[in-house]
Amino acid sequence: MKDLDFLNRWEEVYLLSILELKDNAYGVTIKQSVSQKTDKTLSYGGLYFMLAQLVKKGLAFKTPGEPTQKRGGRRKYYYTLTENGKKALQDTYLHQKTLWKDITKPISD
Amino acid sequence: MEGYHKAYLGLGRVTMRKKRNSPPKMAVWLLRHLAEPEEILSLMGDVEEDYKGICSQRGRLAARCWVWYQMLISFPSFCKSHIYWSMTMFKNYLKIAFRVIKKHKGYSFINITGLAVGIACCVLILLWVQDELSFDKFHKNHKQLYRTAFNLEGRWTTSSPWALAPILKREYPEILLATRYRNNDLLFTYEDKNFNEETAFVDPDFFDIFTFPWVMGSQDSPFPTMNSIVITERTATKYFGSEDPLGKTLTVNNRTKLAVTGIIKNVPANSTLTFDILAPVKLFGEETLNSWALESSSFILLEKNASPDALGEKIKGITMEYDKRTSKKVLTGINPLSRMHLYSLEGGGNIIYIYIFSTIAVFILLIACINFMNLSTARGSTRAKEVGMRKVVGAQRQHVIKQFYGESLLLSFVSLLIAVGLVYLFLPGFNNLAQKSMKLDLGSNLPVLTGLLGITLFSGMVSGSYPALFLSSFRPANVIKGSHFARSSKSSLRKVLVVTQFSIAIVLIIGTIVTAKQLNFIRNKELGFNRQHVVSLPMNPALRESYESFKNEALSLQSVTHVTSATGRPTRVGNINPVYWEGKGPEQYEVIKFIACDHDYIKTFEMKMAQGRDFSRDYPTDIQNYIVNEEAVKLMGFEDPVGKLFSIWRNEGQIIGVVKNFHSRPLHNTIEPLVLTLAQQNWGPSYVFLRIGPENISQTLDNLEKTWNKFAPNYPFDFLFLDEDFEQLYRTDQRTGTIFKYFAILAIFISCLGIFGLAAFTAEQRTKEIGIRKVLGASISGIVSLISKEFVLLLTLANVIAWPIAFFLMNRMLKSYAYRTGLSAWIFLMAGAMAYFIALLTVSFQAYKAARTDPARSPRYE
Repeated sequence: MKDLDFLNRWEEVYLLSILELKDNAYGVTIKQSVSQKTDKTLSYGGLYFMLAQLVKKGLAFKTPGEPTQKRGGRRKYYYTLTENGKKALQDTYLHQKTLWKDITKPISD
Repeated sequence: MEGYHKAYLGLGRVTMRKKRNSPPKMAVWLLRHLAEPEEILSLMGDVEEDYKGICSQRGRLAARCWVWYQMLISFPSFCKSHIYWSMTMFKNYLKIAFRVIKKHKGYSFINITGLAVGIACCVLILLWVQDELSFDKFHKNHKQLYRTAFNLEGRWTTSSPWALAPILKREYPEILLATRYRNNDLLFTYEDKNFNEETAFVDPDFFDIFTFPWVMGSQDSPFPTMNSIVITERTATKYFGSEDPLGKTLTVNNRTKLAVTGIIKNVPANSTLTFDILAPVKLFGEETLNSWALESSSFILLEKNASPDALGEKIKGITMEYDKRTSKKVLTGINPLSRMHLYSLEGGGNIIYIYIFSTIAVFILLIACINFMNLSTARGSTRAKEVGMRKVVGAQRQHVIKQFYGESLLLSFVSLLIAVGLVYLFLPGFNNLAQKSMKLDLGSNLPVLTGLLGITLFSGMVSGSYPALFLSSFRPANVIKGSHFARSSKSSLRKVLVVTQFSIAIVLIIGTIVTAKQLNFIRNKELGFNRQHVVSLPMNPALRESYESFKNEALSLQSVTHVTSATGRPTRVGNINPVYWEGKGPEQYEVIKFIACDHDYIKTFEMKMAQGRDFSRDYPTDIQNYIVNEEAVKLMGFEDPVGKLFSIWRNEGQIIGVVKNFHSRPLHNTIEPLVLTLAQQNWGPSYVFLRIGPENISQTLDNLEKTWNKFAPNYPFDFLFLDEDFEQLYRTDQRTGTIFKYFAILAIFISCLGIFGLAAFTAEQRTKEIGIRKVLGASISGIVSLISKEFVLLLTLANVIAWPIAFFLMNRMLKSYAYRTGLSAWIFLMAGAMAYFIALLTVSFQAYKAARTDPARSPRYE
């Protein structure tokens, strides 16, 4: 069972958002994307707590961008997936697929 | 100027207007303080970007609301995040702490053991103090309970006249209830079982004044008839086993039959009043109960709001008012029950031990804390690099402080666990030593629990504070460059601590020696009578009738040399009575203790006569005559006392002799005036004493028992050697001495642990120096003395400080004995020498180890 070290759903959504946003994944965009995907209002506090944990787990890393006037002269920090992050997403997807493979009938009846 | 000012203000307005377009300041400020420092920049950038977006779409108000809403919903996450990261750091601190413990096993062991022993000591003493303070507090009304006390000619006694209690209850409305209390050992028989029981004679009010819980029977009428008794559960089981005890009859002294009408719970160990059986005081008869003989105690229950002082003032003269025979010198007073156990009426009492032991507990804990602090500081230098690294990678001073406090708290909590284990381990032994049955029940014993946690937190914080504050102040650049600071700086504090530690230890050693010397002095003191080889037996009615024939038969036994009987043992004479003598001034009122005995009392105890003669059968009138002691002669002021008239109560007679002073009271007190008189019917003796030969004691006892059984077959042969009885007088002193000894040993042990660790550290610090010295030709002894020298100085200082303190304390302690040993210089010198010896042994062991190391290896050190 130890090997079942998959992402939890929130991590999955965050990583997918970062993946999707490619070069433009930073706080504001990630928040929008995740909100969209989950249909929930996110707080910045929650957002950054999650991002920090992703970084600590080695699933993503952040690089500083150029400061812009729009942000009161502050830098953006862009988030990118690490190799581990990509692999984790891959594994989660494959695992999901395998799990659902044999389920042919609709669940609701 | 004016214009510039306006322009300036205008500029201000412009900037303010500009700023309006940024998120509310308050929210930004909050954000800055709540978010993790790592994320603040990007987070605030994001917020500002979003803010501006919303601002342009939906207006400023909406945007401001949005920011505040964001703050609100972010708050839980900020908290979560904060806790998460602290936990992460905490894990690291914990890991490092355990690594440090593991790496320096010796130091950690010394630290933890020292503190654990210190805490365990403290807890034991705390338990003891708690137990002592709990005495008599279990009575529901304990705050309103008082006992009467009498001042006879400046001397206090708690004996109370029989007639007093009913008068008090009748005459003073603030006294709700009153009872007499008189304790006797009586023989109780049920079928084939007979035992001597501690019997208390009380009034029915007793059960409402004191709240000894009832098990069976009715508290409303405790003694339905005069021949009723109430017994404790233990006594009930002893006599009746599993049978229903109610209504059963016990026979007292083979004569009176008493019916059990109630069972109460066993008297708790922390009760000053102890008894197995309660009987109605009415059994003594009307005549006794109306007398003013000081033969019982009185207890009263005061109204809740009554002032005891006012009452004391009112009843001051009550004895003189009712008892026409006494003169004006008897003062009546009241004394709170809660003081009964710890305070004696003359001042002092057991409370002194509470102070002494609490002080010792604090001292021992202090010594342990000092160790802890010393070793942590000393080791600080070895951790300086770690602190430097932490600071370089971004730790702030507060983080380092937190880390070191955490570490010392961790150590102190480990010590706490060990200490609790030690307490459980040693509690039975300590109970045995202190003659108590204390229990460590952490769940319900709140004071001890808070005390434990308090002590642990305190010692952790105190001992951690120095390294925490000191180490955290290191400048990383200096530390990593390796500049030296550890040895020279701050070692003065360490020295102060070592001196304090050893001063305390030396004071305790001196205390131990002095108490031992005093006890030895007591044991060897010439008492004025020979207490060896005297057997004492309780008198009983059967024996009283056939006493003369018993005496003759016992004397016919080969090894019995003398037989006598008396009201009191020479070691504790209780009865006290007013006396009159030829030429006494009418204003003079004196009470003297007396012993009623038979003719051979003085011979049996081998007392010496100073003048006159002993009682003799050749003079039948001796039944009215008296022998007094030298102190009594002094009191009466006779030049030539023999032949003078003298009387106790109304029995006038002559003084026929003067016995040399002997110690009739514990050596705490001076010798008092005493009179011997021949026993008559109304002063029946309570003891039989037999002087036996020193050989074949068990054989003699066997023979005696046979004789005893012939004359008093229904009474147990409960013999007691007089020297055992004598030892019992000083049991408290002996116990104190023993406890003192153990604590002194502990204090020395902990101090030595500390000095051991410190010496090891010094040696380690100077490894390079020692190596170079050896290369240059220093001898081992030279190096040992080099390291020891510092400690010798400290110890000398400790001695200088300890001696006057010990002198002062011991002088006060000895003052509680009327007869005491002196404080000679050798005690102090010996204690000092002992401390030197033990400390130097420890230090030189370390120094020797250091000196023996191969010099080729040491320069590479550091």
